[in-house]
Amino acid sequence: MDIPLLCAGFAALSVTFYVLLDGFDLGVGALLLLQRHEKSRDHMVDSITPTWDGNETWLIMTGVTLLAAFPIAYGILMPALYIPIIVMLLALGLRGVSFEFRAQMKRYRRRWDVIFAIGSIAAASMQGLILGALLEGISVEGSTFSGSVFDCFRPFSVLCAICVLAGYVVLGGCWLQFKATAQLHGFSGRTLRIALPLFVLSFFAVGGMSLFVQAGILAAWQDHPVLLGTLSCIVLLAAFILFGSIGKRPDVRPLIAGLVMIAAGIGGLAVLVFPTIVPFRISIWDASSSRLSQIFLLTGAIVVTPVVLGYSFFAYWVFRGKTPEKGWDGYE
Amino acid sequence: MLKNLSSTFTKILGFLVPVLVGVTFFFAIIGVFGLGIAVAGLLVAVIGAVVLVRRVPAEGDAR
Amino acid sequence: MSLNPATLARVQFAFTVSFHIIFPTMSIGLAMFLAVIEGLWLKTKDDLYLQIYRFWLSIFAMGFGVGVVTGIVLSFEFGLGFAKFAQLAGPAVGPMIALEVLTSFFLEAGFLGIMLFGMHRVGPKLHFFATCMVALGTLLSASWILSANSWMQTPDGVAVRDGRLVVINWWHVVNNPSWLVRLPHMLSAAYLTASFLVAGVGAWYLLQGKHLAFAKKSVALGTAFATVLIAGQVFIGDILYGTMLKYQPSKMQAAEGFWGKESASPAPYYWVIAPDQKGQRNRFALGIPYLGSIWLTHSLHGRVEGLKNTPRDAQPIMGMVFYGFRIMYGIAILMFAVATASLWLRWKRRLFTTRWFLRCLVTMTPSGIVATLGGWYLAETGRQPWVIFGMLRTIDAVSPVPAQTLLATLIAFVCIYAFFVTAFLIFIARIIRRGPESASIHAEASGSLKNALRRQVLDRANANAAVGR
Repeated sequence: MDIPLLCAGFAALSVTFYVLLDGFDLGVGALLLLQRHEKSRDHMVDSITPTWDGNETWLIMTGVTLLAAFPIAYGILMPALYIPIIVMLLALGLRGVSFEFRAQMKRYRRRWDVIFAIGSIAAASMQGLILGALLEGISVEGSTFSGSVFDCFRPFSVLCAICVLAGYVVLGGCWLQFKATAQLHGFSGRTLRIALPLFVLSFFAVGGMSLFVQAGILAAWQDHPVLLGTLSCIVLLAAFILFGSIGKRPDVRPLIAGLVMIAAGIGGLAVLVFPTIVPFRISIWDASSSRLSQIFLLTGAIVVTPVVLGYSFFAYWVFRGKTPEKGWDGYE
Repeated sequence: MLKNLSSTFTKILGFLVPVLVGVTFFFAIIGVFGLGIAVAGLLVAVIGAVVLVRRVPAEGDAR
Repeated sequence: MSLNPATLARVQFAFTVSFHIIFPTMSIGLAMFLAVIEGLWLKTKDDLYLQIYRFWLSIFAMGFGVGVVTGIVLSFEFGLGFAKFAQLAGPAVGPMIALEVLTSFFLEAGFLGIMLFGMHRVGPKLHFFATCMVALGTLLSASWILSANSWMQTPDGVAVRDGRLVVINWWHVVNNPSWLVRLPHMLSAAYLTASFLVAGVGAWYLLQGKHLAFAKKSVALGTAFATVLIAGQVFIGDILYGTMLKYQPSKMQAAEGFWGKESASPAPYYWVIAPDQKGQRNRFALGIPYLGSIWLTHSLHGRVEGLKNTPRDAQPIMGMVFYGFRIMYGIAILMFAVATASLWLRWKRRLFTTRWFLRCLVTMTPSGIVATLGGWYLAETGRQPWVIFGMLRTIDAVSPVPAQTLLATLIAFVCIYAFFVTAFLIFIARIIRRGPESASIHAEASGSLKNALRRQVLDRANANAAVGR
């Protein structure tokens, strides 16, 4: 059994869960800035209130998996992505505190909304920047990062940041389509009609530019043309279905299409990058920790992950259906 | 005046005795008198505290 | 402070980890306290215990939340500031940290929600079980982290092959020489912290003449636990001292403030020193005569080993190690004095009316936190210049990040963490001002997965779903 491969799979699963689950609430947070109607903003926040902070679990799981199973990669990627990671961590922390404060201090709610929104946008953008920097290639010498901490602020990475932010806004819009009623429903539809084309355009721009920026991506396309082509088609198809189902019943269709679209995108990234873990630089096996350490990690993961998944599913199921317009505190 | 002396004396004693007992216990527990005494001192301190707390309800404590 | 990347990385990590440790310490202590209180409530059916439970539940929830947020930062910061350490030590400490994270999620997923919001949803016995599981979960999480940190202090079970660490024996990695002594020490510290928090709040109310039943019970419980715990803690501390003397002699040499290879006989016990690391001497030293020999060598004329016994390039900075130790130990002595006084006052039936004592308790409210920080500074600065003792030096472990970037992010951390702590303190002040009678049955912190189990929320959600929209 290829233990490093299993660990890499777990890391990939972790990051996928994170993007799919946290993506839409970062998107909703970002959309707060565009919503002028107070009650609608409350409604938007209410839709993510029950489930938003558990989603960050998967982010930590990814980081810690890297540390335990691929410490060489961890030790290269952290300093390389130093600035975006710290900004992201602080933005996520700020979101958390502003969320609590927002509930406690009703008078300054608008201000907390803005802080929450800025935190969401910052976190989303940083994740895109990180993605771009990874694809463009981290400077590595042996097993040390040998570039500059500012390397991640190149045009390609900025384009990726826009793409990821747009993608999260799309997911956020889809979520609101699913959960919201009345005015908010229309708002989310309008947002999607702008955000979705923006995402698709930037996605393909990123795809195109990546061929020039990273030789490894060109090579990956040459090695797996059918697989990558299919995944790209799925992205496009899902986008079309999403667009077509905006404003129509069932309300869950845009969300499902959106999740499929993003998942296919992640799948494509995985194909591009495999079998390296520091993309195009260091392979999974070269970055691996000792075998016993990886087995230790996998055992814990196998035991705990189903529990976390089960509990998350339960929470989403409890809050199924539309978010009540009076919010969850209505009868406190 | 004698009464005053006696109550002052009681107050001073009431201060000195706990301090001396406390300091002795502290020295005992940190092993100044040896490991055996340390363990014994720890047991006496913990059991003594538990017994005292249970037996002597602080005032206002009806339970 | 020099603009040296190694120093800045250390300062940044020190700041974030010091801030972080405050909250898990409170969480571990309060979780156990809440379990005991709920047990007492179930046994005596006395609603005063329920009131105490509800009061501290909100504070526990908020502290737990801040602990999680600051903990997320730390799991990345190993790599951000100390990439080479992460690369080398990953195989050993990585899985332990992963287990700590996984254990936290397990308990958070399973039981914290029920504990915080499920009082009306599940029966009291199941709720109590949830509280106990949360207390157990915080204990287990702490064990894993402490095992990882203890491995850094007294590494074992690994071999270096081709510049990488290979785990030879997992049991030796986890059960390294100092783990099982440091663990009870940290746990006691957490429980003592909670005891003084509880007693302090109770004393505050007693001084104000408010919420008397709650206050008296709090002071009684807090001082009772503190009394039992401090005796054990001092004992464990002494054993730990002996352990560290064996495995990290340089740390204990620095901790006592002596420089010379052999101190004078009899040796004093220093309380204040002005160490000169360059000159390898103390510019000034104030201590209690004879006490050094008595406490440190258990004899009247024993000599104590000084820091010059360690080669200069392996010496920690005496000032930080010494004062970390003295702060922790000084507070321990104060705690012991308060505990003894509480027993005496209890005997005299004056525990709730002796105002000077109540004022002491109020002052001692944060004593556990300060002592814990002092102890950790002793532990971590005393381990220097090593990050893995005897294996990897801290300066060799730093990430290749420029000093200005480190400085900028350090400033960012300080500002945002200041914001977090302000939020926390405002929240606590509100709870204390409002008093225990208005403590709700559910924790007040919002915006979390745990909301799923709030009764009215569940009812609304079910009603919504029933309408079939």
